[in-house]
Amino acid sequence: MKHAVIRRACSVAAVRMFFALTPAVWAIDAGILGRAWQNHPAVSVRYTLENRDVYEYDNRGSGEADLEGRFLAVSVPVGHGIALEGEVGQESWDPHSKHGLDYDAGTAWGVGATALLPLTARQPGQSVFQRIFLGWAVRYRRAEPDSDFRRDVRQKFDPEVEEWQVSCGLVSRYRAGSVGLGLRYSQVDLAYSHPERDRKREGGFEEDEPWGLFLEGELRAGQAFVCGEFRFLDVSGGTVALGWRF
Amino acid sequence: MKSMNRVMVLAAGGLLLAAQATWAGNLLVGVRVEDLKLLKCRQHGGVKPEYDEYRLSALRYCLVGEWRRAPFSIGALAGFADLTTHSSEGETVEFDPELLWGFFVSGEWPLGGKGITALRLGAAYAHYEPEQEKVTAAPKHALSTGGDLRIEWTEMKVWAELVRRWSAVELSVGPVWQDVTIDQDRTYPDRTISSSFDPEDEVGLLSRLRWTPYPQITADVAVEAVHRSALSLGITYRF
Repeated sequence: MKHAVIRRACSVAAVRMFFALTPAVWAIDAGILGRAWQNHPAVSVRYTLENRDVYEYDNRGSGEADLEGRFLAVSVPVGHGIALEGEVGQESWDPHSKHGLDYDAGTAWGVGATALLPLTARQPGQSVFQRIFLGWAVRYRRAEPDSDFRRDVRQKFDPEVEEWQVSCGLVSRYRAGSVGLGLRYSQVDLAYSHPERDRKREGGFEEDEPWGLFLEGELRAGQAFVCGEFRFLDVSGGTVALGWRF
Repeated sequence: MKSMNRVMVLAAGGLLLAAQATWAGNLLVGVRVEDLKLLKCRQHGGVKPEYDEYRLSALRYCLVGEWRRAPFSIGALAGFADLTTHSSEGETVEFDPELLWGFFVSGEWPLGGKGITALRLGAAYAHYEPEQEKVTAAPKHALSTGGDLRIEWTEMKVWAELVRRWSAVELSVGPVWQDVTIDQDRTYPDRTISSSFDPEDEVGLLSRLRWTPYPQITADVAVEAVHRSALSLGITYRF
């Protein structure tokens, strides 16, 4: 009886926690390291999963690809409202193609710069927009597979995935969190080369739609934070991040 | 040799002092790195019709000098730029870095009386002629096009930015129109075939973050999303 009550209480708490965190868990890309910590160093772990339309530009063949990444990210403030970011981790690429050309694990790294600045220059209390901030970010990420990447026994490919993005949005900050909506331009390229007898061949995939919207959220508890982002139009997917600020 | 170096260092120092004394507060000197990613083009008049679809990319390293006198500024840049062309048949050609030069003008006018929001209008011109090339990837089906290549690249840009300032930080965003003229001569022992590349898009978006941690030093990162994108990083010192 006692155990049943405890289980029930835990279930209710888990469901409540799920709904409380949902706005923040729909999320990233990002590299979002917790916009609230813009003026503090921060470290976080991030998980990104996105599905987007791509096409192989030499063959004009279109299709879809999944990008899944796990990263350790660090953010360092370099001025009031500006931070530099760096991340390392692993990323996988699955192009949903019958030819394969997918890999499970690739070493990935990225860098970026972000800004979070007040929308108005007025003092707090003087403007209805005092909670609204302008967010801006530029990010670059690169990944290479750790093992051989083959279409078949004869053809060995040397691929590189490059992704970079610039985004601009509005962020509303509250005592225990923030929510935001923004516009992002992002490019993804998987360029490959492979030897063929006495010559080398090159080609690649790229994103079909670079413009997209994102919805982001963040919750804070002491120095810890959970944040995320949900992306649509250009990709379907998002990112969640758990972090700590110093 | 040592005395020659000393003379050059003294001369450079003298020039900097003269610049400081003459143009104090108005002269900016810096470096700029620009990464142009995959300009999508259609070739007209090429040697093979299968090669019509092209993708071009380039990396540029430039020295930049700028003279500011409110509300206008005028500047020039010179440096080196390489070029990579990739045709839809899979042939990739890499050109060695060649001298690039250009100039730019801009004007800025405040919006409202507080000086924190402004409208900036600008125009820029750049030109270079890459010609020492190396074929680094072979085509899929057709034979390699061969010949010696020479390209003339001329670009003009006009943009408008809405600028917002927060003490040491400046953010701006706005539309950009870019006209790139790319003419190519492919020379064989017995003939020369001329063609031109027509970029897919001319209008895009410009976004820039500028940070001035000290009154003399400014760092900026700018992104132009036109054909695909160009990323620019710059640092300038204000005399």
